[in-house]
This record gives sequence, structure tokens and C-alpha cells, in this order.
Amino acid sequence: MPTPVEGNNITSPDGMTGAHVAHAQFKTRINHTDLLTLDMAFPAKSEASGVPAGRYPAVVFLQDEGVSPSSYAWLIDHVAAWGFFVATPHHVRDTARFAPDDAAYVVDFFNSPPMGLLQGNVDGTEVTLMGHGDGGRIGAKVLGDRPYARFAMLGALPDPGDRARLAAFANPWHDFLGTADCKILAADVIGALGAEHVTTLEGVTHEQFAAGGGSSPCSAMPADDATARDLIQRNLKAFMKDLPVEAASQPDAGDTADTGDAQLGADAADAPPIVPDAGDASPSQASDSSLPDAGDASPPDAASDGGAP
Amino acid sequence: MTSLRRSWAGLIVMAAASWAASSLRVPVACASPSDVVGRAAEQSTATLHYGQGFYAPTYGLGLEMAVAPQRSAAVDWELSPASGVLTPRASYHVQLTAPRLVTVAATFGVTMALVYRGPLNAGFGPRVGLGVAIGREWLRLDLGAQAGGELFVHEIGPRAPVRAVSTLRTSVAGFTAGVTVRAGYDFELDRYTLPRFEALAFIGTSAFDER
Repeated sequence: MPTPVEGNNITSPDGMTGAHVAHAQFKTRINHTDLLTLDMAFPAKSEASGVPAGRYPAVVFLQDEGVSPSSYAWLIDHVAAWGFFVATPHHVRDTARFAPDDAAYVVDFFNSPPMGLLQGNVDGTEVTLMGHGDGGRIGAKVLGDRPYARFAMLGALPDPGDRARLAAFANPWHDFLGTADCKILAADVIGALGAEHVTTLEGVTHEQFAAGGGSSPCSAMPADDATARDLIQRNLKAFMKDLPVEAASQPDAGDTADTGDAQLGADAADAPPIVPDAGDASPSQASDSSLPDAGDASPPDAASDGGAP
Repeated sequence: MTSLRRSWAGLIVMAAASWAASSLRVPVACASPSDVVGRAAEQSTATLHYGQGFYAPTYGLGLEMAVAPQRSAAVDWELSPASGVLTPRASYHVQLTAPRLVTVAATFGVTMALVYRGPLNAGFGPRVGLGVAIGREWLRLDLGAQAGGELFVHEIGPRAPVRAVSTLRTSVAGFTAGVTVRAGYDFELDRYTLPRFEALAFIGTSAFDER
């Protein structure tokens, strides 16, 4: 069982998206003597957020090779705003394949809440595994290590040896690929996984799942970052909400900057102090000040759904 | 005992001077007489912090003593403040061949890991090593391999670290300095193999040796 060492509230008043999303950072003990840093994003305890307090399902996010977790802040804030606890482990050298056990450690962390810090607020039995690029490839390898509720790949091509594991995975799984992704070609993924498990996003590059920017040498018309992010979050949200996901997705005409979340753009400054230093915190302190009221659990699906496709 | 007292005196001096020190010796370390060594290490675990833009060093203090011809014993303590782990070790070194340009040696030892940051934990286990020293005292290259097993109070393990070790060291006028690189894997049941890399510099002295 991973054991926490400490946690800090790192909520930024502005936030990456301005969403009512709170952030925390934990350090948890892994491999007996190492520490794993976990970035957490979750719905803030705020009526304005539109997300009711309750017991939220969780997401473990695995970043692409060498990409800092902070590069995904925009996407992670969106997912959290939909009513999920999102944990992003800091892998060794920001590379998931150096530490494939990290995902399982995070699930164990959710299921064995440290000193009551997360108890009643995270549903450790409903954890979605999500990974971008190499993180998605590693996700396909570790999919059987814990009972994941969903598996979402973003611009990822699983290794051939892992495709049987994917086929045997009984819960929903899907791959979202940009048509301007020069690193992972959509045609290759469709050929490997089948079209029913793949959604292509028009003009989206590999990098736009993360911080974005750059160009796409294999596409004459890559989407701008705002358009790409809109496409990504709209389709990913449909998958996370168990709504139908189309095989191909194009930008909405004249609405390229739609965030898809009614609560986004609001001020997150009213997020409560989240996690006192867990090394010193008593369970009562932690559960009282850190997270939404566990006694008022409501299905997270009641979250604002303004961006559902 | 005179030698022991003098050597411990050396330890105190170095600790007071806040030296980063340790005697996590490579398997052929017994070629030296008793000495006090130091190091500032960049532990493999520190790479966990790479994405945050910094490395977390470890610090240690150590002592090695000749206990018989071609035999020596060593103890050391290594501290990783960032990880909150204190690692005491004890080793017994045996030269398997007479000291020449090429010398073969073996190491037997035990390792503890005391986790003090967060919930307390402790681990313990044996380790062995085999190595070859090439060169003379003033300039020597040590090449070796180490393996061990560790059991922990929480999540028993066992964890089996396996490492290749390389050290380049020089000794002049009773002082020793060198650089060690260790690389390998940790093996553990129901876990993926975990790559480890460690680079460290050490400095020591045999000035307190009575010979």
C-alpha cells in the first residue's frame, strides 16, 4: 500500500482554464524507499462550479515521453471540471515506461486514502486510465494490473503484444487521434485497433493534446490550438460520460473556442484550502478542510454538460 | 583499538565540517587500509524529481578498517533528506588474490533502509559483490557487480537490487578521491523492473591510520 508523505494545496486563483477546479500535490511512498509526486485536480467545493459535492470517480493520467505533467493542465482541468479526481504522477524523467507501476500505485493510493484525506471523496473502484502518446502505450501494458473502468488513449499506438489485452478488456476503451499527428498516424492505429475504437480529430497535432504550439510538417492545415482543444475535450468528454463517440470529428463551424464547460471561465479562487501537510494532519483536519463533503454524495454525471457533443 | 579510535576521531571531524560522506564501497574497496571516505551522491531516486527541475542529493559518512591481511570491514550511513530515508550498511571485504596490478575481491554485507518521512518503514537484507581492481594505489579503476535482497516491514517485497559498478579513484599522500557510477535494476515480485542509476563523488583519508 503506498503511503502518503505530504500534500499541499497548490490551487492557483487563475487556474489554467479558470475552471472551478482545485489542485493539490501529494508525495506518496513507492518502491519502499522512493517518493512519487502526484498532481491532483478535482472539482472545487463551490456552488458556482456546477459540480455537486460527492464521491467522484478517478482518472490516472500518464503523460507522453518527456512531457511535463504541467503541459496537460488545460486538459486535466477540463476533465476535473466534469466531475473527476485526476491524478498525474511525475514519472522518472517524465517517462511512463521508466515506471510502469506508477499507475497501479495511484489506484492503490485512491483505494487506501491516506489518513482519511481522500476518504469518501474518491471512488477508487471507478478509475479511468488515460494516457497521451507513450503514456497511452504504457497504459495498454498495465491495463490488467488494476480493474480500470475505462481506458482512454490520446494519440497512442499500443504495441502489438498488448493488443490482445485491449481486446479482452471488458470495459470501454478508445483512442483519439489527430489527423495532423505526424508521430502516430491515424491510419496505423485504425488498422491496429479497428475503426470502432478510434476517433480522428480533424487537424489536431500530437502536441496539441499537451501544451500545443509548433507546426505539423505532415499536414498543410493543422488546427489552431483553441480549435484543437475544443475538439479534444468535446470528444473526450463524450467518452468519459459514456456517450456515443463518433469515428471522426470536425470543428464546430464558427465556434472554435468553445470550452464545452459551462463552469469554465469562472473564478477558482474560492476553492477551499485542500490538503494540509499530511505528515502532520489528523484525519479530521484533513477531511474537514480539504475536499467536498462526503456526506453529500451525488453522481458526478450531474455536472454541467454544456459541452457534450 | 588505537586505529579504531583514531579513525572515529576522523569521522567526527569530517561530520563537523559537514562533509558529504559515505563508504558505500565498491567490491574491491578492501585494497585500501582503514580510511574515512566521503561522497555527495546523486541517487537514482533523485531522478524522480527530474521533471521538477532538480536533483536531490544524498549524504553519508563512512569508515573502513583493515581487520586482517587482505580483509577489511566497513560501516556507513547514507541519508537522503528528500526521500526521507536513512541507509546504514555494513560490509566485509575479502581480497581473493594478492595485491597486484589486477586484484580480485569479494564483498559481503547487510543493508538497512529506515524510512522516517511519512509512515515509518524499515527494510533489511544481505548483499554480495564481486569485482576487479586494475591499477595501483595512486590511480585505480574498479569494476564490479553487486546483488542483494531486501525485506520490508510494509509491503514485504522482497526487493532484489542488481548493479554494475565502476569506480575511478586516486590516492595521494593519504587522501583518496574518486567517482563511482552504479547502474542496474531493482527486481520485485509483482512489480515491473525498475531501472536505477547513481553517480557519486567521494573523498576520504587514511591519515588517521596508525601505520
